[in-house]
Amino acid sequence: MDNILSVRDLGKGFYIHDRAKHVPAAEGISFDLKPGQLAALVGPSGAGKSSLLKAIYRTYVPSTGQVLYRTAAGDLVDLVTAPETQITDLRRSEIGFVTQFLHCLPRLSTLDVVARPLLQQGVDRDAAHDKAARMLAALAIPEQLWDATPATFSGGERQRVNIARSFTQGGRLMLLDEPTASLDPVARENVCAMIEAAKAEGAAMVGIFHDMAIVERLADVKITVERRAFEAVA
Amino acid sequence: MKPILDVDNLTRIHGPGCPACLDVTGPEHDTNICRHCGSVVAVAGASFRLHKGEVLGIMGESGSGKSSLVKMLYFDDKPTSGQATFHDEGHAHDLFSLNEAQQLRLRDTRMGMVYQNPSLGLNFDISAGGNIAERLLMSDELSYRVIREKATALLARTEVPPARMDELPRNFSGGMQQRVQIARALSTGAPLLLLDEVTTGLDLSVQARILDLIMELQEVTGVSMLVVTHDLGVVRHLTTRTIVMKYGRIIESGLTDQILEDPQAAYTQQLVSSAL
Repeated sequence: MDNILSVRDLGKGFYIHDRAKHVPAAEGISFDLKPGQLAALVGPSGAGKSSLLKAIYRTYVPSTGQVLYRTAAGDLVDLVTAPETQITDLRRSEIGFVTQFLHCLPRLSTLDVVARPLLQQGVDRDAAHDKAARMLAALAIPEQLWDATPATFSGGERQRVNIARSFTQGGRLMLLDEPTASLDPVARENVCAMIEAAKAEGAAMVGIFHDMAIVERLADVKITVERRAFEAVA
Repeated sequence: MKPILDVDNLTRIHGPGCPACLDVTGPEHDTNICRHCGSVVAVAGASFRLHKGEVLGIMGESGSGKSSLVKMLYFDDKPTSGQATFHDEGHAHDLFSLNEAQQLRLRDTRMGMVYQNPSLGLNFDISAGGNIAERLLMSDELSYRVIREKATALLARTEVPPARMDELPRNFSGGMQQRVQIARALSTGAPLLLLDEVTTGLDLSVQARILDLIMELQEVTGVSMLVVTHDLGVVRHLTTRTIVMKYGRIIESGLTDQILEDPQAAYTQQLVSSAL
């Protein structure tokens, strides 16, 4: 089977103009990923794992290397140099990013927040709500809360809503930044099950997990990210 | 993605202008005033493309030229030089070579504008419904009944209570005036919407609801939007790509999350890090 993702010598550094200082975050990262596989980025905190994930998603402009992605249409695209409009298209339909943090406007109901990416893809309202409801149920968000806005939820509930939204949208490549951090054991198990289900459906993933037991359980590939000699400034 | 608007090397100089204007102004000179002739370089060599269905942010501090830029695109002001092409219904309109009647036609029916100051976008002497009707009439809709129905539906969509349809917008709250402006701008089904600091000066809770409304309308209609703002929150919520301006120049552009999280230019780094 062809690789869906080939990361070649990926590196990221920041130039802080204010201090006229270059701050390296990560460098020399290479790995390959096939559909259905999960690569875990492993290393001490501050090693640049999140920076790498953001560099793959193009939230950060990579400093070196290539991120070769095979699209659903079969084209090989270097995400480092792809035009912005192609990146936004891919983000809408193929590449997802799961963070611990949920940004949303106060008026939307939880169900709408979760269904939104599907609506943006043009899925009809009922089908989108249906799938959103299944995901919320799978993450044990009580149905009484679905009409309320997540702005009023606890941290753990918000995080689960965010994960429900990301997995409702799905994607051929999903980037997971500590999706299980700060969840209780039941919720953590639900999220792991959701990740396994998505893998079984062929989604490829790159993830950061605090918990090594989860890495052992979910990862097909482990990529060690070393802390840079030069410490990042806060 | 297909383009809807191509802006090419657009420049606006207020004042007599001289050959040195562009060389002695801009971020590297820390001014937009020409020291030779005293002209103000509001916009210099701005080029960008807006795609169909895209929401593009134009971010910068006051005086950066962002409003000047959209005002020219809406024919409120004329450029000193440069071009803009509006791709609409199979035509490529070279905006600044159209005659005045053609420009008015596009402005009244194919482009919508929402100003920071509602008194610029609304006629305060006629009712909220009348403001919508006025624009519909310009688009050749002549039946009173149809106009009334459409105006009612549009105001409902922007959450203006039907009971207030016959009131003068001058008596409305700032948030309500913006809703009427948005309804008016959307009334003719224009594919291009220009928003100039639409939430500036409103209460935070009203801001959030207006942004929410704009986002929802954009998703339903697929309208392309240029969103001018100094507010990083507006940029984050509404836009997918962003342009950063300073002293009339575009100094950086990119995916909105990249601009906010990994700004490349010194000025953008400052701007982003100074946000609360």
